[in-house]
Parts: sequence; structure tokens; C-alpha cells
Amino acid sequence: MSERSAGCILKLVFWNKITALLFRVFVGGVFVYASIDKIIHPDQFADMVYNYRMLPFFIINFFAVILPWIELVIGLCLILGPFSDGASAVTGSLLVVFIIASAAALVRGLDISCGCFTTSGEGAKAGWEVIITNIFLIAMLAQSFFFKLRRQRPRAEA
Amino acid sequence: MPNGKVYIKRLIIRSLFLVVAASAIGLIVNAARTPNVDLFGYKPPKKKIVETRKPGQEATVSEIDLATALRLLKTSGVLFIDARKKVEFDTGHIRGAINIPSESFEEAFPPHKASLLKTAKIVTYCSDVECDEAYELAEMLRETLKRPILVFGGGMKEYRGKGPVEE
Repeated sequence: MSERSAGCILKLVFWNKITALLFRVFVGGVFVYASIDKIIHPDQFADMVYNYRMLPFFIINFFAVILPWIELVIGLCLILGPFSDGASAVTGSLLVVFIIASAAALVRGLDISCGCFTTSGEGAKAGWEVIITNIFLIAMLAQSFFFKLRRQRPRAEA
Repeated sequence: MPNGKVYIKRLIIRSLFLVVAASAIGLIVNAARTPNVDLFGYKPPKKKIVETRKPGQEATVSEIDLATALRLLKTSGVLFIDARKKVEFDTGHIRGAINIPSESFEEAFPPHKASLLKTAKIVTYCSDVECDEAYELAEMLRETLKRPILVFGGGMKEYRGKGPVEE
């Protein structure tokens, strides 16, 4: 198989409307799922945020109260469609923040739960696993975002 | 490229709108909750000292720091107990420590009971300040042996590089 035909197959598989929709809905689903336990237990989530040792005390509770709702709202926007471009931008920014927080925990040798999906402290540790997962989510989001942007451009220029 | 600028502006406005709207929902829900979270009054979890000496009572479970742990390590009649799982214990533990995993206390404790009764001081530890096993084990030992137990809160993470380790 030539490089060109391999490239064509990849483009056919990854650069189409259905894949873009599936990626967007998947990332949205992940965010909605991630928000539920944090919304139910904001006080426990605050302890998870504290464990990262990145924020001053006075802002930890505020952050722990609003972040899960941001995750829920952008997750629903990604799944249902309205404001999906804005939701993609916020989601991408949050994923970058999560990567930075996990990398900082890794560098400082903090053996802490990432607080990604559960506030019980039994979830994945903040580290490489979280960083790699978030990179994959960013890649999915980027595909979906840029596919939509590319499709919109001819109309905008016409 | 005016279209690009317009699109980015629209994207930023939409993003901000989502963040503000979601935050507002979160704040309203929190205000309506009982009990709600004090937005600017976070208090970190307290140190996990289960009980300390009460007036007229015998000491129960209390925490010691690294310096004390190192000093006790050189003292005779002090036994260190690793509360982690055997797999973790085998990867390296405080020299002379025995392994009684808190999760399998019922099976692991009886063989050591006689030697523990003769020991002057007992110190439990686990992996680091975040783990609970050392405190759980200390509580179980205190109840079973009816005597004070010390917990080295920093655990193996704090200890490594500061004192002798056995594998």
C-alpha cells in the first residue's frame, strides 16, 4: 500500500461528519459523567483540589463548586450541539489545565488521586495515565472542531 | 481576514457565556443546598491523629514525626509495623519492621501477638501522609492490645533516603 493511499484511507476514516460527531459526543459524555460525582459531593471534590497544592485556600471551595457545573454544561453542549464550538474551546482549555495540574503533581512527586471521575479518592492517580487520556481527548475534540470549522468556511467566504 | 476575526470574537463570547452561565447555575444550586459549601472558607482536612492523651487517661494513638521515628529506630524494644500490603512491603520497608497489612489484620496479627505483647513501643506506618492503613492498624492494635500505639505519619515516602531500608 502506498503512502498516498494510506493517507487517503486515514482521511476517509477520520475526516468525515460521522467521526466528528462521534468524537464530539464521546468527549461530551466523558465530561458529563465526570461532573456527576463532583456535583453530588462538592466538599469532597474540594479536598481533591486541595491535594494538588496549586490553589490558595480561599478559592478552593469556589472552584470546587463551579468546575463540575462547567463540565456538565459544556458536556451537554457537546452532546446536543448548541454552542458546540464554544463548548469545544472551553473543554480544550480545561483539558490543558488538567494536563498541567497532573504534570505538576507528577514532578512534585504527589501521590494523589486525580479526582477525574470520582471524589472517593479511589480513582486513577494524577500522572501519566491522566495526561495521555487528556491528550487523546484533545485530539478528538480538535478533529471535531476543525472539521466543523472547515465545513463552515466556504459558506462564510461565499 | 475579517471573517476569522469575527469568528474568534464570537467563539470567545460563546465560551465566556457558557462558563458564566454554568458558574451561575453552580452557585445558585450551592446556595439552595443544605448544608451548602462555604465558598471562600475552605478548611484543609485535619491531620489524621485518631486520639491523643486525655487528662487522666492512658494515651491511645498518636502521631510521631520522622526525627522521632529515626530516634526510636535506634532504641531497643521498639517495633515498627508496616501496615501496607505484602507486595508493597516486599519492595522495601523500614529495617526490622514486620508486616501486618491492615486489610488482613485477622489473619496477619495472631502469629505476632506474643512478640507484640513483649514490645515496649509499637510504631505503625504505611506509604505516605495520604494513606490510612497505618491509622487503621494502630486503632485495631490499640483495641486488641489495650496499650498506646504510635503512628509514623510520613510513612515510607518520607523515610526513604533518611534511614536503613530492607527489601
